[in-house]
Amino acid sequence: MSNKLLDRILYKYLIRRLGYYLGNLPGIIYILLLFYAPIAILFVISLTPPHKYIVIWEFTPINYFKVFTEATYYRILLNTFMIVSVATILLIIVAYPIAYYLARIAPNIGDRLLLFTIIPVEVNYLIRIYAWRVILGENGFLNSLLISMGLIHKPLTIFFYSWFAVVIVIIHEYLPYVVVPFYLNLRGIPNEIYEAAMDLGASKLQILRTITLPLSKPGLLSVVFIVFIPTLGEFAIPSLVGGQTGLMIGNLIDRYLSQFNLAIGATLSFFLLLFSIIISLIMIRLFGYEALYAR
Amino acid sequence: MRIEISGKIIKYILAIYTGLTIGFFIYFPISILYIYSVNNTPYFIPEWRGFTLQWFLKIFERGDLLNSIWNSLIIAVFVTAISMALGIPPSFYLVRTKGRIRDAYFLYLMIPFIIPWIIIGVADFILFWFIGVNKSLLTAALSHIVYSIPLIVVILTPRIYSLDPSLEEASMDLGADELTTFRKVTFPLIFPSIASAAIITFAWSFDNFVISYFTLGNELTWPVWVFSVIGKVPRIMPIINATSVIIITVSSIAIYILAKKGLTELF
Repeated sequence: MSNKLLDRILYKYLIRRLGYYLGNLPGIIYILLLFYAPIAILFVISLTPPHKYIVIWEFTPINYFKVFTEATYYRILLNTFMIVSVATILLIIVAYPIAYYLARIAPNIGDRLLLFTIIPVEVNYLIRIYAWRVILGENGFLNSLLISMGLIHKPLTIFFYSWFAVVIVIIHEYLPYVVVPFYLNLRGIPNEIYEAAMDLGASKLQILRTITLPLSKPGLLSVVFIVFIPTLGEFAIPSLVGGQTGLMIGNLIDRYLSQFNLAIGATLSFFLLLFSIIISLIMIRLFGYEALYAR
Repeated sequence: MRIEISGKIIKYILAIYTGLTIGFFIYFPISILYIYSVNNTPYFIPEWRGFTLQWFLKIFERGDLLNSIWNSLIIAVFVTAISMALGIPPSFYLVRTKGRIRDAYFLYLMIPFIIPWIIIGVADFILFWFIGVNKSLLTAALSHIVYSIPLIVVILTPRIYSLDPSLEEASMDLGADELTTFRKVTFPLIFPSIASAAIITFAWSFDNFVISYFTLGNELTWPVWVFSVIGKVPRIMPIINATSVIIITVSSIAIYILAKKGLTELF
């Protein structure tokens, strides 16, 4: 009798194990074949000497030196880092008050309003970038407005085909996704904490500094995963509105791949991969996996 | 009294700020798309030239445009189906096991998710060149799935985690086997999460530009086709614009209805 029970338990256990393996194996193999294996090939090619149209199977780290010593490359790498940093910091500054308003002052409309801001940015990414050309362009809305107000006489060209335009479009693209983690954070703070603080005579500023801001830290971390890392590889926005000052690493990769200079393209991609992984691992090590989830 | 007033002022300032910021950054560019879709000029100049529906009618004269939308839809359906099949089992596994192997597995799945999309595009571009496969809609779809498997895992795991395990235990105690329990208890409970994962994956794949750009062949998807004609084909922008107005309207209404019915949670 007990033997039979044991058999059944063992059988169930085995079935469950087997089920897990059968269920998980295809995904593991898929990611291996279409992600990790290509990354390995990419790394090997990044070690070959730069050449158009063909890959010469000799190995040298020359490309990595090139990327860090030749101005054409490292200027654009620095530019990318600058644009993405500025956009991320501005996004946090712009989004936080919105999240605060929706979560703590008008919580009854918060969910709906957020839904209405997320829905329109879900699709048609490219045409929305184009719309900003109409706003920021030389004969665009912003210049017409400034001229009609008498603030300027000739259209300004700094708005468009510049890193400024890239930053603005990144803010447009990511604003709702940055509001969401802060919103969920702030909404999760129990009212009792605020009541206790006010009972104890804390001023509004003290409450903000000692309660609200520290408790929003997890939201801040997820912003790194939501905006900073993905936009490092941005390519459509700088090609459509970036001009010369808004060039990013994505444009560089595209340029070398379309010339079929695989070695340089692979080097830049591998560098971008390493950089992203290192930043992510630091964030995960410091603050745990939760930062990933607010996405 | 003074504190009361200043508190109210801050509330109003924040309300106005929220309205203006969302208005400027989100709705201003989108309303421009709507206005130009009925403005009687092929140029995007800040001037009203009268109402017209010609741009909407001209959509049907552009076979390449309609074809690109059809391609995007096919890819999105394919990607959603395959990545659901590959992404749901790991979601359960990751919630229900602990330990180092689980953590390593999680990282293994998450690395394609946290890095910029362009790397997936370039890596698969090189892969298809290396093994000598001609790029096509299929290669683009296969590359999309690399990202959408972890996307589904990230959407599903917190929701599976919040499932009450006693419901499944009760079902097992009453004699149901694992499969029946999954079919009759677990699946209905997480159906809304699965539906939102499917919708988000579909929308993401339909709209993805970077990965498709590097892994497509001659047949283009909607975003890549738009990119290929922007600034190159004269008088095409208003037609693209009219098309995108239709897409934004239809998808917004669909997502709103689904969200209202509790079938999807966007956040």
